Amino acid sequence: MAKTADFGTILSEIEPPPGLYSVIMARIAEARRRAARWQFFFQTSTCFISGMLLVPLAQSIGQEFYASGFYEYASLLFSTDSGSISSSSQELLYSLVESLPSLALLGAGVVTAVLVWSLRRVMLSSKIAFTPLTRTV
Amino acid sequence: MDRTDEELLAAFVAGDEQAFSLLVERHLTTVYSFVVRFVGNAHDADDIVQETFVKAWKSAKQYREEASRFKTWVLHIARNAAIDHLRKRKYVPFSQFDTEDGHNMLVETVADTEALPDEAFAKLQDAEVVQEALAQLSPDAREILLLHYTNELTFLEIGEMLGEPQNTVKSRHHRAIISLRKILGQKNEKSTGPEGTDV
Repeated sequence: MAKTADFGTILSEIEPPPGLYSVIMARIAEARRRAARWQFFFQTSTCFISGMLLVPLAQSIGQEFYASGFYEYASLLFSTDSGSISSSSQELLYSLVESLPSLALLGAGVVTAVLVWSLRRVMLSSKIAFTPLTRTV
Repeated sequence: MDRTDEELLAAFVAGDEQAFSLLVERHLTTVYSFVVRFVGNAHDADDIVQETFVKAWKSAKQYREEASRFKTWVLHIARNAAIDHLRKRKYVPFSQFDTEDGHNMLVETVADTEALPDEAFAKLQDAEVVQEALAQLSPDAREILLLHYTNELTFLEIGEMLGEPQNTVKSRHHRAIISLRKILGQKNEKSTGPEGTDV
């Protein structure tokens, strides 16, 4: 339609004011910094909490190792009576596995992974969160 | 070779911050043109355009290339931001594009054309008439015309952006054109008298 095509000619693009691009980039930089600060504080808290949890978990694991008889079974592996060990190796292995404090170990593994991950996030976010904003052109 | 918008956005999501600034540079004029004509106020358009690109930056990871082009996606964000703004300000048909020093931004930036083949447009004195006519349309009609003519989106892209079937967009466009012609015809009659051109 020739008539409506002319309408497009009349309504051509309007140039934005000269400083608008810089203002937009400055706002984005500020938003990035704000997001990084939130990340930093959140991940720092996660680090602290997971670190605090590890202490009682480690104590619990140690106590459970002693209480479960795992050390007694494990010490058999280093005994001089290799003949009886090899003949009952399967039972020994089952006993070792059964006496492991599995849940506590799993919990400690998860908490350690969270601690390491959050530490990494803290380091990454601190670079942006506390770097002074520079003017972009 | 220049990277496409989608490649730039993917690079940004992967960690290249510079890629997003290139996208802003590329689409700033397009977004600004749409917003300033949609809300009819240059000062408000500045704020809305800033908000648009900040929202685009925040939601870049949610962009899906298979759903729409980047241009369509960012205009969708701009449109929503402009509508939110109009709702907050309870805007009625809006002001001219006058700047503080008394110039009219629309008139000064419009393309300089010679005699337009269409009779109706040929009678128009300047782009202010078109803009005034646009201002009298509903926001729904206005956005269809701006997206199609100023931002050069196809009806399919507009439909994807607005969540409407293509045929619905075409119908809305048709009704918008009829309304616009009616308004322009009324203006022509006022300026030329009863013998003015039929629209």
